[in-house]
Amino acid sequence: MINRFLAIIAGITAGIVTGILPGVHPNLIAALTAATSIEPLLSAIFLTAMAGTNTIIESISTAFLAPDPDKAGSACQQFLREGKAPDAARLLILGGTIGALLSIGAMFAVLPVVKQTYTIIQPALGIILGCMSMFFILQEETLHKKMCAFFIAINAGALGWIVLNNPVPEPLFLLLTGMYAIPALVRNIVSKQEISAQHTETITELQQGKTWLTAIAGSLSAGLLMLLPSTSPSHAAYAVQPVARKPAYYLILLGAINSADLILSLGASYYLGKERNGVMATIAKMTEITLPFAAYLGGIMLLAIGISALLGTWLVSKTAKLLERISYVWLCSSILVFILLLTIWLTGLIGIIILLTSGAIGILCQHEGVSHKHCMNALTVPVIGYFL
Amino acid sequence: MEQLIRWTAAGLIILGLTLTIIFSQQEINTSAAFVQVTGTIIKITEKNKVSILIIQPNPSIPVIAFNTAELAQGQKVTITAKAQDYKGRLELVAEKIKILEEK
Repeated sequence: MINRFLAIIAGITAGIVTGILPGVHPNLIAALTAATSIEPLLSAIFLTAMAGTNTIIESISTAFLAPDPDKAGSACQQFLREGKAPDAARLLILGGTIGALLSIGAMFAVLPVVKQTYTIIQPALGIILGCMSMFFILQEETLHKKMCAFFIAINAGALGWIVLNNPVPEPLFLLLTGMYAIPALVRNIVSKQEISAQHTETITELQQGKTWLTAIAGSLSAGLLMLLPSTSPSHAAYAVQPVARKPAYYLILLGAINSADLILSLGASYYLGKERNGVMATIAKMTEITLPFAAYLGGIMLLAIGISALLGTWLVSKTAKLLERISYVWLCSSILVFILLLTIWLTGLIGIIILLTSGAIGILCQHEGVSHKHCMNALTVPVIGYFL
Repeated sequence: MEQLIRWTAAGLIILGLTLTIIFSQQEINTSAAFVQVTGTIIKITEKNKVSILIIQPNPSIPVIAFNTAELAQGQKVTITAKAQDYKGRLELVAEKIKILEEK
């Protein structure tokens, strides 16, 4: 029993690290854990606690570093400019905690629907995903942006196809860190713009009813992610965007989708036999996910989310004060160097080449002002290939 | 906002602890859902986009594998696979194949 308790503590600690450092994803830690000889039960507890914690704590890096342009859109950058990054982090955390609570109920409504629908659409899933990618390209405002988006989608898809169909170590880390974390860090470094002083106290006011309505929409829309492989929370957010037009509610929506996605993915591993993320895939390889075991891991996940929400609100103020003392550009440069060293250590020269290529695609996306959703074609194209 | 976070976090902790305590008493099957087999490939049969590998020293248990372009007879491999029943016979579905020695 003490071992299990220590595994939870270790998982929460690891989740804090992966949450704070953009680019270091729980999938990477899951892959490293799978290579060890730790007892499967303890590994599963550790990974579950880490994934739950990461979902909440990554709100801090998202708010202060805005590493994921699509995930929080321009909302986080707007909050950061106005000195309200701590509020942006709190809104994401709030969405995460409410979304986690609601997704327990949503699971019983969403998963049976997903199971039925998936059976019907599975033969056409490749075509549906292809049409979805085209739809998002056509959503770009001007012809120039549409063409850029098409170019980015083709390149991201080709890179994903090559990387995922060859024996490349840690392919998801290389693709996603390159396309999402690297561009934002480079932007923060190149612009040499130090951030303004941040208000540590809460400024944003919310309407209770609208907050809950937004979180409910987020929890239910996460079901779309179970249905369509290779889609990201920003795709689900697009579907329910009308309920959260204001930036504050949009952040609550994204927080709710993230945590609901995680909890539903645990339910889906048992109920649908489908692993939505690397953490669940690793756990499913090590252990058999029965109903009691899924409920046990669900309990650990909720516990980790609850504890990390309390820790997260405390860390938000500390981070804001810390950023007043250290250079923002220096911080981003340090994280970038850390990611490069980690890439060399884990994947060698081939990893650096892939990271720089995916980073270039992400930077192009950022430079041309088109949505980062097109980068997800790095996963969508191989998935389409699998289904066709 | 912070008060709402605290309340929902408290709810999550209570719910999480309850589930963890109730289900920690349940029998949890952590016996590996996957098995590992090491041996030499003695036969490869291609059939409907999948390959059926026969491995020495367990030739009676076929291994179903995908993406076998790099595999050839005579190679020594370690296969991580899931055991399943197929028409009353045991077979393995390969998840990961590591080539130890070329033929």
